[in-house]
Amino acid sequence: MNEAVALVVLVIVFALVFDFTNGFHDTANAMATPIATGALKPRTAVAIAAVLNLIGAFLSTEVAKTISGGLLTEGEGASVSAGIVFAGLIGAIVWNLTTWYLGLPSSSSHALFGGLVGAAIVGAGFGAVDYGVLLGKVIIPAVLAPFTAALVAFAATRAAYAITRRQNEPDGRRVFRVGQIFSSSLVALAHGTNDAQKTMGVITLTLVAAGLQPAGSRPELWVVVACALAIALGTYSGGWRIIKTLGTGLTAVKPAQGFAAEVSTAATILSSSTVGFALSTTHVASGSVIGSGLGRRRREVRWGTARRIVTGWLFTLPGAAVVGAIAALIAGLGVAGIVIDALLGVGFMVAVFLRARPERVDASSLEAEVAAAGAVVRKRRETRS
Amino acid sequence: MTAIDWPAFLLVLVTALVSALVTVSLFAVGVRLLATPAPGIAVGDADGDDGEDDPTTPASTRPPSATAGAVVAFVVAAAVAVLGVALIIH
Repeated sequence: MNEAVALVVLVIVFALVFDFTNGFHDTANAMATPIATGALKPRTAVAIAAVLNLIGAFLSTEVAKTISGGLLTEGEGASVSAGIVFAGLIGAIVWNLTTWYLGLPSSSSHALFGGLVGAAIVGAGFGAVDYGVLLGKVIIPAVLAPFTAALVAFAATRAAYAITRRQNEPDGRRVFRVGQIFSSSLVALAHGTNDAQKTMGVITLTLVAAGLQPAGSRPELWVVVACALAIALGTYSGGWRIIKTLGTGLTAVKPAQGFAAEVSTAATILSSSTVGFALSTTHVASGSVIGSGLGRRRREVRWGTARRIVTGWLFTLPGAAVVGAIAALIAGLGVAGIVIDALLGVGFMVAVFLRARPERVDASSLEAEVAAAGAVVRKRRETRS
Repeated sequence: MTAIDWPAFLLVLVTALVSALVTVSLFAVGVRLLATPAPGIAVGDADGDDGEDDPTTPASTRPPSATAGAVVAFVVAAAVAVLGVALIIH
């Protein structure tokens, strides 16, 4: 019995670690573009995003009843044990840290789903996964999301530039930087209402499975608070590498364009969660940045970076699944296996952070880079006139 | 369960497109109105860069109707955003 309780505690700890990586992986979705245009200072931007994620986590009344929306057979006669959830979480965390190290904006939900699917297949057999749901609710939406967002952002950017275009007079487009503060905040809030729920679902399911909480009940208050804090802390710590990729790697973002991209991201996510057709925040945000880059007159999108990002997306689900599967294999050894898994997981986290240190990307280096980019643009303009 | 829910997806696409276009256009109208100087007053562009980095035109040269219109545009744009948030909270 003590071992079972220990496992539940371990799952909760790793679920919160995943929630943290989810937060710092996704700061970029809301804050990469306002940082890139100088609308917000990096530290201010991540602080705003953290607070709004915290609020968002409490706001949403939509309770995650299942971890995965029917992806795995859960509940009555469930084949998914705490050990499998644990292995799946390790897969998700390892994948999130890997893509963070590479500076790739990849979907945290895909990492979680992938990890759980891989672990479930090894731990409970192929029958534990509903492949129809996997295709219809995860894979196809992942393909549609960036195109949808790109189309919306393209149209919105076109409109913004067409309406404010002026001949030989100031166009006042700097005002869009003020708008960006609000539009990026909206994205952060929408993110909080979505993503913290997933971890609450994982923890609640584990508590139910362990008989510590009645089936079908809402997440306990302490679970909601813990998840909200974990995602907010993660957001505040800022996934600077990914912010750099999304803010400066895809296209040079101008205020009007950044505003259009953020409004498009928020509109797409809000309408998708209202309709109940879930789209990944990350896929939507990346699509918006590309669409807004295409919507400007002098279109410039670095397709090499876009290709790297899309490759990352393709590998996220299977990559996390493989890690989850390996972790589940090891967990199959029993108590010793779980301990080995936990040690390997922690070891990997430490290793990635140590490896990332020499080439650190943080708030101040990013700020310097944005300033330098601005200086280059100004110089180019001076030589032009 | 296998098939994708196309009607739901189309609904998402149209809603997102319309709401984003309305919000961005409203805000852009506000920006455009703020950049409106009074007719006949030439606005200097000190650094000759087509005004891209200049502060907004001094308020004195802007007709009050333009200022009022801009405020209305910004407020309506914000109202659309608040409506969007209200939708997910419920």
